[in-house]
Amino acid sequence: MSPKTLTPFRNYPKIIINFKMSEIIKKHVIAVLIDNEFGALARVVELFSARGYNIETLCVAPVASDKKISRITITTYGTDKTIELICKLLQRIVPVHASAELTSSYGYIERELALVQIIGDNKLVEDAKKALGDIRCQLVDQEEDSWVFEIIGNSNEIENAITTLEKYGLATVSRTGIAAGFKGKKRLY
Amino acid sequence: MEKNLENKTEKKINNPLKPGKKALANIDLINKPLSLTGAQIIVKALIEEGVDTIFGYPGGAILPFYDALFLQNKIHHILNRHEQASTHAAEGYARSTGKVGVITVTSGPGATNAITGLTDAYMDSIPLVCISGQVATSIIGTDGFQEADVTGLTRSCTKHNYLVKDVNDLGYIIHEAFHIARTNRPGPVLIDIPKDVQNAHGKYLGKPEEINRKSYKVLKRQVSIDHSQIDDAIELMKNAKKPIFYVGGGLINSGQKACELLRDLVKATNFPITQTLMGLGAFPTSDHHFLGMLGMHGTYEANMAMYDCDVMINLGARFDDRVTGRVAGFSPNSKKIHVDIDQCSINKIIQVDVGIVGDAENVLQAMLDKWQKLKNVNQDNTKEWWQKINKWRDIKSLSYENCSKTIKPEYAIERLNALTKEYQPFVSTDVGQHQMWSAQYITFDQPKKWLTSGGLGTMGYGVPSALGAQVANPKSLVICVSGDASFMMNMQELATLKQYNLPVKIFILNNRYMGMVRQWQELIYEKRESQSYMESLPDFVLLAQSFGILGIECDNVQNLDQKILQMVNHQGPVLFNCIVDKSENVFPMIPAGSAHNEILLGSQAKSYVTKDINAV
Repeated sequence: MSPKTLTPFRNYPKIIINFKMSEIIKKHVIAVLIDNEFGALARVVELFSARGYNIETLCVAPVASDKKISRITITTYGTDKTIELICKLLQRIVPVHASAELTSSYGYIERELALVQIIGDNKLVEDAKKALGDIRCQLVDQEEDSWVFEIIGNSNEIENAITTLEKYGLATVSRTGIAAGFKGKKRLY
Repeated sequence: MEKNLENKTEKKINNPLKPGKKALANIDLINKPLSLTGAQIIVKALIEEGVDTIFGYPGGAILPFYDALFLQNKIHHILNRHEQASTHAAEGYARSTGKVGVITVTSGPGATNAITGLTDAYMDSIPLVCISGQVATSIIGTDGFQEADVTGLTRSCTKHNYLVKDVNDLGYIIHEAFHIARTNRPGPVLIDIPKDVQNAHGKYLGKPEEINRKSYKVLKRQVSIDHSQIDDAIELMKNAKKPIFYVGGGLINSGQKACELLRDLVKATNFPITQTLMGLGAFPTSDHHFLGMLGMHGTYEANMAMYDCDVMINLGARFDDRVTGRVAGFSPNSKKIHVDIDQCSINKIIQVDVGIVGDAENVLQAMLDKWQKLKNVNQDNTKEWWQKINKWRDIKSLSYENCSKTIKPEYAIERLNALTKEYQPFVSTDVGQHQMWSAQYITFDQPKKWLTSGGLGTMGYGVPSALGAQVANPKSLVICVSGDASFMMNMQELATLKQYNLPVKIFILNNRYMGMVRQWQELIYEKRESQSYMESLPDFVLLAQSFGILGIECDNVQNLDQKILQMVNHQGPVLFNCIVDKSENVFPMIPAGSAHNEILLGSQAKSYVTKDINAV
């Protein structure tokens, strides 16, 4: 599947077209399997920063039961050409087992979790829930007029939820960054 | 205070190496099965890796190691006068032997000084292991004296690096570091070892039989080459009308066998071959199949052949920008085959038609076998191509206008080559015009004889790398061709040469300029010579004498041969100040951002072209 048309993040400039296809800046999601050791993440991150690329979201956690291997999911905006180069250079990092750009050809799935704190009374929260509609949202903590919900979805849904909740007493937001993988049977290894 | 005392006594009991001076000579670290200090583990692991020479400079945070080094007699330590020189010396040692070069430096400034050399080795794929001392674990991150975040600083200029936090990991890490440095695409590896880890006692299990890191697969000797890709390559080569081999430093890293296989393959196919700056020597440059170096200052025939070819076979080169020129105009009509051990290099800059990931030796062997089994190869396929190439050759793009008064730098290099060729010398260079002239005019019939800073272009590389090569090859003639500006960047190494009596011959082409900078200013910045003139230079003869070595000066053509011979025949190190024409430029030249067919020629070659326009 070709990934859904994704709207860029709010603060990000809209797609810049420089006439050449290879110079269009767009969203890329990159997954990396890497040894769980100090310095390894820094090596990956420096590939982006050294080229003046900002990492929009970054999600890291050990994925093997022995905690020896971690999976990194990175969202960044850049030209196809530079991202392709970064993906090649990822292979050169000694602790990297495997890496792939999920957005390139194969379809991919992504999920993100956000914890949002709303300050307000029962009515406000009820209204907020209604406004969120289909978005998966669950209460995880409440104390007096402070309500903390978890919201799960793809980054678009999280974006929309946050925009909506701004009108309903949104106080703090904490997002995990997306975790992503290939669609179907394909594996990263 | 009490705790400190306790530690001290404990150290005394457990340390097997606290002998009096008499015992020094008998120490044999290998046969001591007792628990060792981190410093002793380093020494022992280095010995087990077969290290016999290290280059370095002591300092506070690496003192425990230097103490352990003092108590053994298997490793020879060369004391350079600056850590950058240590790294270049280790590069010269590694490049001229194929072994891993080893450097030991202290924390903070010691390690930061080494960074230039590490970056240089990273760019040119030279296997190095750099051991740097670090402040004690408890002080890391508190702005301690001579503290620097060395693993952070070197992350982007090393193939891999380590900070050792537990003395029990130390032995394995050292062996893994050597494994990573020398396998696949070689490169520098840094191990940062805090002082308390060097002092702590720990277990050392010896050299592991096999290092098996799952995320790091070794390609060498693995019979995992994709044969269908090689078949595709052979198919292209078989039908090629205008083929060319384009060979880089990867061949030299692969080893002697790969270079021999290349000779066989070139002979079997009768294809022309060009080499990059780093590749010189992989194929004999005096062979008639060789078209000269390619790239920015490559020969006319090599660059035109690259532009015009229909099949390009890239072996162990990486399409550097100094070679490709403008990428869009790079060899537009050719099918490209790229053999590289580093899969990241394939399709990185130039899209190729056949990409083969593997060690050059394995791939060349497979190619040669398949080629020899081919039937009906039409030997006349490349006949017209050779005729065309010979016409380009007739332009003689390396010709220059000689002068009977001032020494032309090209002439000086030609004479140096003619008078020393029989010794098959190691030649190192610094960076600039003299480097390009050396690449153009010196004969390299053997691999590993040519030491130059290709990727990073580090001025100051020449003298220390020649020093390293001389240490590794004490009986060979080692020449460092340098320029007046480059030489002064690491001239403190004259003291090292003197100390170990290393008979390196330093041949300075002195034009009082940063010649290459001046050339660009002349050609691109309308002769505005901004900061490229050396208004003050030392008297090089007196300078040499002050270091206790022989200085020779030559400023006229008549004496040149005799003085070069005097230099070669002198037993010790020599500093040769050759005063050359100030305004000579390196030609041919492809200006940055131009394609191969937009090459600029020197006045001699140009007049030939205007005379016989059909030749082009």
